[in-house]
Amino acid sequence: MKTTLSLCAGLWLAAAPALAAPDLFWLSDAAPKKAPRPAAEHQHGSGSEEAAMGGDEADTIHSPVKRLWFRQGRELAEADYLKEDEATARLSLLDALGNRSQAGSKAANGAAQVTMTLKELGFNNAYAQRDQVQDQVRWVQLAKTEVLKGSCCVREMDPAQEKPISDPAQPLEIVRQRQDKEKMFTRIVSGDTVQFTVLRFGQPAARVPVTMYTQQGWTKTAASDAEGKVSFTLIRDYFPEWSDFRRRTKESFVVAADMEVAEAGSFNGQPYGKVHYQATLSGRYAPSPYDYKSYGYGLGIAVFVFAFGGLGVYAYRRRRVKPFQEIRFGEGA
Amino acid sequence: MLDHIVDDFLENPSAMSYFYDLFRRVYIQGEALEKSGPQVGITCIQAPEELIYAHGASPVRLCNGAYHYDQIGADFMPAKSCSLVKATLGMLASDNAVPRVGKLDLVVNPTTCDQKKKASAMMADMGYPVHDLEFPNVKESEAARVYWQRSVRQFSERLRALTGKKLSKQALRDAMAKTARAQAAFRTLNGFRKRSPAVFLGKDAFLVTNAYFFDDIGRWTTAVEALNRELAEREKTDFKAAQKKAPRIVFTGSPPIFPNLKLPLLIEQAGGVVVADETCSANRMLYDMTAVDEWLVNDMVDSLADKYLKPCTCPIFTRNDDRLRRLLELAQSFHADGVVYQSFAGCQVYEMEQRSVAEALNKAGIPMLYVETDYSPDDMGQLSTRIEAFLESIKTRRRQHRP
Amino acid sequence: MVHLKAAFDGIDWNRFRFWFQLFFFLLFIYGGYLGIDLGNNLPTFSCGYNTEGRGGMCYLIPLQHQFAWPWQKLFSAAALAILTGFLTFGLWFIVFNKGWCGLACPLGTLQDWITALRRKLGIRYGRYTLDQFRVLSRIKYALLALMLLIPLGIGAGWFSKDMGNPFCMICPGRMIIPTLTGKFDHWTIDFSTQAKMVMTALGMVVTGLFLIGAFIKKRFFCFFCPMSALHYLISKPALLKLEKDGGKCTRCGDCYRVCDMEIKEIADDVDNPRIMMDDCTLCLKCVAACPEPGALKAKFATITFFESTEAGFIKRMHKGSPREQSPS
Repeated sequence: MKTTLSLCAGLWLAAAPALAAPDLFWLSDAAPKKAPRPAAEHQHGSGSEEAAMGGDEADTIHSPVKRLWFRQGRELAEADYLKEDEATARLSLLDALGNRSQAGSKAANGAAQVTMTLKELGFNNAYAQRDQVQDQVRWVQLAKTEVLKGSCCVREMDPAQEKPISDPAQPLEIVRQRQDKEKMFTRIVSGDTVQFTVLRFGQPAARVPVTMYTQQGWTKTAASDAEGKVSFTLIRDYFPEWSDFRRRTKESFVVAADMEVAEAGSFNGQPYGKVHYQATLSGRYAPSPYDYKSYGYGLGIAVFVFAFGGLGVYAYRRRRVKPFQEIRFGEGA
Repeated sequence: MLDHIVDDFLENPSAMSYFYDLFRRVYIQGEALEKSGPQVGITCIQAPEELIYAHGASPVRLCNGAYHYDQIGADFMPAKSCSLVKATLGMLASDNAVPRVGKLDLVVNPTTCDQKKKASAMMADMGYPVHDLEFPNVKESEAARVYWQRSVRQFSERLRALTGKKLSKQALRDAMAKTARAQAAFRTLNGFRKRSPAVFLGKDAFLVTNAYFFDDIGRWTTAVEALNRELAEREKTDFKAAQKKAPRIVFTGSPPIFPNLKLPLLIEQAGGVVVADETCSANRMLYDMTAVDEWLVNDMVDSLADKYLKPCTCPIFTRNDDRLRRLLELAQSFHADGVVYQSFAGCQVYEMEQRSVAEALNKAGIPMLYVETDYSPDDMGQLSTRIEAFLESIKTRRRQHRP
Repeated sequence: MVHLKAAFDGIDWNRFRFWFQLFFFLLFIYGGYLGIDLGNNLPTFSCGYNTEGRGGMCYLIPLQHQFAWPWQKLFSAAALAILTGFLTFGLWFIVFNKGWCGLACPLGTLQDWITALRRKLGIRYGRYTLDQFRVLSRIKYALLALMLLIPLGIGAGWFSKDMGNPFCMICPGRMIIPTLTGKFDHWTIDFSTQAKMVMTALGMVVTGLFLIGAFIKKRFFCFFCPMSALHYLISKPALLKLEKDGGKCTRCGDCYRVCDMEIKEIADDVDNPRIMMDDCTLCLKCVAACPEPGALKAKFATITFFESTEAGFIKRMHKGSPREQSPS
């Protein structure tokens, strides 16, 4: 029964998304295009690239000041920036040590922008929530992203700061499991298999459909297993011209988990019969170094220079009679 | 001469008797010392002996100090030329010359001073196979260094042609170790001469280094090591080989070669003591040691070349700064009171450097006696008077400086 | 104390140095695994690309990084960070002077080991002629200038950011040192942009040349090292000193003979007591190879801890020879 329902909902969504269900709600670290970018970011890349990319991270990993924006839409590159309203009024933060804080938003460049200053190195979770009732269904959209403060000058961070953080107060949450040997500067790259855990009030939730959206428009849906785990292998979907290729480019992805619970009540005076929880987790991934780095050529050049240089030196020593050095002694015995 | 060296002095070190006997056997009885392999005559210490040993040959040093051969040699060279070169030529021209040099398979003639250079053709005319070991006239320049390294390499090739033996790493290393051991023994011996009052006399030191010219290197080293042990004993017992107030002299200039040890002997007979020397028949021959970074043949040969050129204080080079610095250093570290500068009549390069050396020493407040002489014994009386006067003046100076 | 010094003057310096170098090699390349971190301003090639094992970071990385800051940041109060970095670097440097090259530098140590391998194989080494040497020893200043000017150009926006850390890109240490901890990431050509491609290809060419060069020529890379140039510019107040007493020198050239860097002045200059030249790595082999007592001295501040002695020379040069000198 339930499967049919969600299938129908899906079809219906595709036909008339504005009416049926609210669009995907997620947190982005890319500034709206009009926003001025830091000077350092200006040099690489031309305008056309930026349009194609839909914006880089607004703040570098080193920076203690981080900014986030609220967006909606499945076309990640084109998704709208939300203006200031109730849903985007504030963001709650949770760090690895369990400290909670709030950050308020303000309007900037026509969009609601949250600015926060991180003191500790490591990951912080940022949560935003949007509630609305549509067609007797209460939609609870829980957007989450991980904000990382890193430093080039500290080699190790506290392992506690590296661990994935979850908030047991969240009705539905997606947690990204760390990659093997993940460090501050480890990038998720295409080709990586990323594992997520779906949690409901801090407990693993099984058989929850989870969808991965990437910036280039690729989507895939899978259900979480008994331990709430689900994983996606990020496809290679970045194929620019060589002259436009940017190694540092980072594209966005959003994973969304949907769960409907039969729960009646009213919200803002509007009655509803069930609650649809939709949790999103947004992140970034980069092109794989294997796309542009070649061990073959690297070693090839080194070996070529080594071999031919060595041969050259050998031939030079054998054949060239340097004035005053024409007599050589054998080193045997 | 030997009798004077031995008998005019009391309390000669007993270990010196090896050397006294050696000279008696070689110079008086005319005994020929056994030497292995081809005999390679060398007319100057700048020919690397290590290479000769490494090729399985033996060096025969042809520098001669005898007035008798000097006179024979006068047939080849102008009357006013260096006694040493004339004596060498005279000896080579004589049959059954003493010391017995035997049949020479090769004569190596480093192209140092003009007289040695010109001796080359004369020796060749006498029928000796001569190899001119090309020696640069300037030593500061890198070009000269490289040029000399090439000369030494060519010399090695010539030795290979002579002996038919390839230069092997082990043979060269052994040869270098032999020489290094001799040098180390010499340095120790030389070190004892720093002591004041002297434990060892200069005439014996000259005899020891002169023996190096013809003695077997291993035997010589062992004898010197024995002498060193005796001198160490002497040092412990505060032995005095010369008077406490004996003026200490640094000897420099043309090399005293046995039997022409008249000048050092006169100094010590007159109550002085020769504490150090800067001559090619002694200090310069054995003092400078070779450093090798990698014990590979190419590096060893170049290291040898460097050692034979770079520290050389021979006056044939354009500049004599190194010789001046060396003299000042010797005078200082051996606590010398004066310098005696011997120049053979006709040895132009030493004659010409006399002025600059005198100036430098004068500046340092060290008195110098310049003696121009040759192998003839005629001037002994006159020299003896001059030396006595010089030593006396040193003593007077000392008294005045220490009121 | 006197006895101790006499004993030290007689040591087999090259062997002592080998252990000293090995210690620093392990410290800089694997020290990180023991939690050692000497900071980011070390005056030696403790390669920063060796992210896990390094016991500290080569100063050239932060230096180039900081010079590539945008100009408005570079010419602001933030530049104080550059100044403190440089001061820390200077403090480290002052202790060891160029001993950082001859005694501590992992890349230098590697070259010494490659040299040892060649020696074992019985292959003779190459030397430059004096004229070649004069030209080559200037290259490091050019590299130092480029190493600072290119990042400045990046900060100004003239060059691509992919030209960042230009010296690191061509430094063979970037390939070789991380490899020693099992990190092979840098043996690659980066085709992502043209600048990257050219720089990484240059890096591989230099690495290839380094391996042959170090095999043929003692301390091949040190002639070109911009760190060495930077060292020399600030070497005046350093504590570790090499001094020469020209009066005692016979100019025998033994020191020149053993000098890996072919510094002629060490043998021929008798007027200058502070004989450390710009190419010097303070390996002190010259002191060990000098037979003239007191002619060459290695001092720390005012204490002479190692000086040339006759006995020491004889002991060292006789080592391994068939008949050793009997003590007299």
